[in-house]
Amino acid sequence: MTVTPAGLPAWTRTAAIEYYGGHANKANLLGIGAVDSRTDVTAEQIARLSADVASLVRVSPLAVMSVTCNDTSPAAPTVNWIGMMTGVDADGYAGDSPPTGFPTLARTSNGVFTITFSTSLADDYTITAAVDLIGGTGSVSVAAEADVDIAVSDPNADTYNERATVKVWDSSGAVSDATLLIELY
Amino acid sequence: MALGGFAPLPLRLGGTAEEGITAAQYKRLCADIVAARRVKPFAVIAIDQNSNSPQIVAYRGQNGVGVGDQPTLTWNGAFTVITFANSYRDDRDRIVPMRLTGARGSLAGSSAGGRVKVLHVYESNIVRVAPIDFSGAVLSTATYLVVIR
Repeated sequence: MTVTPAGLPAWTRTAAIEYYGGHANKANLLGIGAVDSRTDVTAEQIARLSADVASLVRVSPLAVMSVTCNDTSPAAPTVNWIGMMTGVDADGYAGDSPPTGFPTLARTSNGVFTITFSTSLADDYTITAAVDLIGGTGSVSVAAEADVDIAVSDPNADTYNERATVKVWDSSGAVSDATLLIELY
Repeated sequence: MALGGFAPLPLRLGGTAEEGITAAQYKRLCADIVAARRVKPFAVIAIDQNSNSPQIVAYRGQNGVGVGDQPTLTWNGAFTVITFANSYRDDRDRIVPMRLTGARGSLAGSSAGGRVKVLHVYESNIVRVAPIDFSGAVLSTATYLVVIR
């Protein structure tokens, strides 16, 4: 019989060792360890595995993406590459025409655009959970000094932040046609 | 599949895709987790500078999520000082020593841009950050995200 995975998808940040078979008092049955370390996984190893996975899940970005703004000929930014907890699109796409499950990017003005996710996403087992961003970091690939500002917001007022507004700045103002690397958490 | 005489743990690798875990799958799992562990940040912190009385808006760390696990913040006149404990209690309730290796950050919703200045002494547990504009002046009402490694 097919089972439902324990716990909730990674981006909910609820990860706990119990999701992965861990337990504070984990033990091998009858206190007997591996018969053969080439074929057996022990309680000690499951305990370490579950703690490490929970730790990593808590701090992993929901999405990492390379984006190029289209300001000279105004259009939605181009996603060059995107890796998400739910999948990877290495081919890229026009921001206003995302593949299913990937965010929509919309140009606001020179150097300013939004990244909007669905209210919920599905993991590899098709378990769904709400998207709730807390922020992001970014770096911009241009010759002059410039930096990236990323603010999250809740466009549909459901108390979860599904949108990031990205601004590319230098000391003279907005930077046009920039290419950025963005991580959203 | 037969689990051997010691089921349910130790787990005997093998069986089918539906009811077991093969040795090849488990080796991939181990390699991927080790690879991820080597490069993941220690914590991600959203901070409100709050007129230079900085506050944590959200905390996600390898040590836990939320208020009970977050570091302390103070303002020293030039930087927001983020102080982590020298050790933390892991999911198995063991105290584990910890040393930070670096940090970076980005502003969130500034009116005219700028960046997050970071001052961290390698392998100390104190990170100093400041949201600044392009002239170097502190943005006392900024919010920003800091990634700690």
